[in-house]
Amino acid sequence: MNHSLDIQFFTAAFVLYGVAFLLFLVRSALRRSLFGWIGLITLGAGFILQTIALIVRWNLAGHPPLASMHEYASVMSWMAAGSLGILVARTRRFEVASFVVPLILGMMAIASLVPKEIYQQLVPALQSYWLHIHVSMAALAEGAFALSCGLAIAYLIKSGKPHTPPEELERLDSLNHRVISIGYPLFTLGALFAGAIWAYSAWGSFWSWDPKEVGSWIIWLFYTGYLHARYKRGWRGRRAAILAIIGFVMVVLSFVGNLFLGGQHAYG
Amino acid sequence: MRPRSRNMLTQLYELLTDTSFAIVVLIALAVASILGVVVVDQVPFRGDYARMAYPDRTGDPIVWLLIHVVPEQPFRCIFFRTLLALLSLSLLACTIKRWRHHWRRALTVLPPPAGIFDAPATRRWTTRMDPRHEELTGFLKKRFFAVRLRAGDDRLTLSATRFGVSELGSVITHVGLLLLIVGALVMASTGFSELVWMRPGDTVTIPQPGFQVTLEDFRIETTSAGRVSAYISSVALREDTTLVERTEIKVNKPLRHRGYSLYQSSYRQDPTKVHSIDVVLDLGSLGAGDGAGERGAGEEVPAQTPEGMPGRQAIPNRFLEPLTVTVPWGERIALPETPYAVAIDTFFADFRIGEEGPGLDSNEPRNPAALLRFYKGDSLAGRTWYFLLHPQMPVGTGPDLPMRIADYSPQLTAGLEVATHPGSGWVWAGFAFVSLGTVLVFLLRREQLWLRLRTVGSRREIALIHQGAAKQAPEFAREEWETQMTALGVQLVRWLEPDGDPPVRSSNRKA
Repeated sequence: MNHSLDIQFFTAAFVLYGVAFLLFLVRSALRRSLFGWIGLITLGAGFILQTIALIVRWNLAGHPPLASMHEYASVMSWMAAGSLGILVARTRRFEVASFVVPLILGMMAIASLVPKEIYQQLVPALQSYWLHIHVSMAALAEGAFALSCGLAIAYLIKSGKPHTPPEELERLDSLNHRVISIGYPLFTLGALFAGAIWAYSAWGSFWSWDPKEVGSWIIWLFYTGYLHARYKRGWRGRRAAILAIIGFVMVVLSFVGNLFLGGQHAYG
Repeated sequence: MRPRSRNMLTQLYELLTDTSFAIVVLIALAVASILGVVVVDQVPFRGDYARMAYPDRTGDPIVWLLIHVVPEQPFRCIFFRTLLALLSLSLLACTIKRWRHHWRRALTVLPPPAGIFDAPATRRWTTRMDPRHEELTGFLKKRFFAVRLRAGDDRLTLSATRFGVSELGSVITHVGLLLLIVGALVMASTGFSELVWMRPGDTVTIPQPGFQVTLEDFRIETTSAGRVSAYISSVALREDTTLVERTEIKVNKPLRHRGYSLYQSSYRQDPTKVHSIDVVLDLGSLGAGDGAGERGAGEEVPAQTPEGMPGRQAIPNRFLEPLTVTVPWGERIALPETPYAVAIDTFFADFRIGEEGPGLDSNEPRNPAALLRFYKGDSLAGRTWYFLLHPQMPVGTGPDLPMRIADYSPQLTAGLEVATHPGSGWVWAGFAFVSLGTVLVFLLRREQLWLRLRTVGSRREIALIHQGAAKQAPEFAREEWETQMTALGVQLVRWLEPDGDPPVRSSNRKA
């Protein structure tokens, strides 16, 4: 089966992320940081290949790779991989990667299962500079939510172990909150506002309760509730971690919702 | 009664400002939204539509639920609007409650709290340096700090704050959300939106501001691969017959004029008009001795080849192949090798026979049919219905030609949505406020810095605390003590101690 060049790079990145995951697992089992560093380098190599895949696809299509489910899932996983790489390199917390990389692999798997055709001609509704602003910011935000989900899983597993130092848990909790603090404004301004402004010029109304719009609205309500619970009610640690996981589940449901509910956002 | 009512109002205010209440409303809105989208997608008949769809089953419990409980428009029903109203009240109450407090925090340079210089996070060291407070103030003001000084006999206390405006972020965000909800309600209640189907030449008149929009042309542009690249309506905008402008309306490029917007919303084939019809004349299919068209519908086949019409033997070889003739709407086209000309009389995209004769069953091209007029010379020779999907069964009084409709070029009509957005000003203001508030909340953090200089014996003691900023990243720290401080704190210490020995003790001691 012949694949375009971008898909070959994408597949290679997919494989490298898988290898990185195995290396991070070995690191967790043997507690040898060497495997962590090799895993991080492998993750970085996968990230570079995925970057090349996106650039090649951009070049082949003549527009940014933000116009289909494959491209969206790919950008989302790319964001999560990049953020994870920076996070691990700066904090040396290789164990976090063991929980985040599976989510990246999941997003890559979704991207590889949906149609991957390149259409040089965007449908008229997508011919707007708002495509770049709205979709890229939404994908980056959801990539951050994926990362926060991985951190939350790491927190929950570590908090179940009796010998985990409290500072370690506090650090994970704080990291999780910081990641959500990056994702939430990106989501608010990019997914909701930029999308509404674009809809105003393309469809004639800011908001039409399309299934994807409702999905985004629910995600926003949820993370708004999360932040209020954290700031005003002091929800931290375990409860905050559970909320972060539920939030990302909503992101995934909203992403695949188009396949079942259709709507104006069903661009393939 | 008075104290009691005040008590009730207080309780209501406390409820509305309670975070738990806000979270419950957010959850309720999320659940209602999920139900709403599922209902819209999965339950096609609701309310009066269910009554019409199931007229004989209105007593069934499920149908009763569909009629009386499931809202026709879930996102406009009273329940959903009540939740939005509760959210608005909560936002308003929280804004009122927080405003003064946040405003004060944003503008005030707070003096050092009691005992702050003894806190574990405070760094203290003694020095021979004696920094002038003007220089110290200048150092901080250059870095956007608002500074207050308090000089005592043996000590100088400096309080500084920057990015205090971030304290207003959450209030501004709440105000913005309120504006958005108000704008949305105004738009939903008083806005206008209607889809207008226009053929080229049609004019839509907007009476109140007084202007007309005439569709001059509608076209669909495609790529060589057949993908649609643009839907374009060329329109002329006039006010009192004076041409204001000629422009194109495309997806993503609406026409806005005097509070109205016209969007390229849709298009369809005109169900009663075509651009042209391709008919195939297959004279070669006639057998020897067959007549070729002189017979009217219902007449017997003549025994002889009629005058001017060749029988099979007389047909030249080139006519053994079917011949396609394009008949444009409104034109009369001669059929080659026959004495007839043909013109389109009527077209139905979905033909049906009703009580009043032929008619249109739907606007979809499910059974395209055309009534063609045949002329011989200038006189009408008959009319026959031809069906695209049933080529073997023409019906009518026209000549019995071996002819069928092969294809047709539809006449496209543009669907332009005419809309007003009366609450859009509120919505734009809401976007601006929430965006500003979000930036203030998440990108800025209020920082407070307190510094105390006091004389201890022959030396000066400096105590410094910098709150609100993140600690120095370890990779940028040159000394161990630097990892415990903020980047600005490190900068300040180095400015105070340019000569260098590590000035900050790793452990604090009581002053």
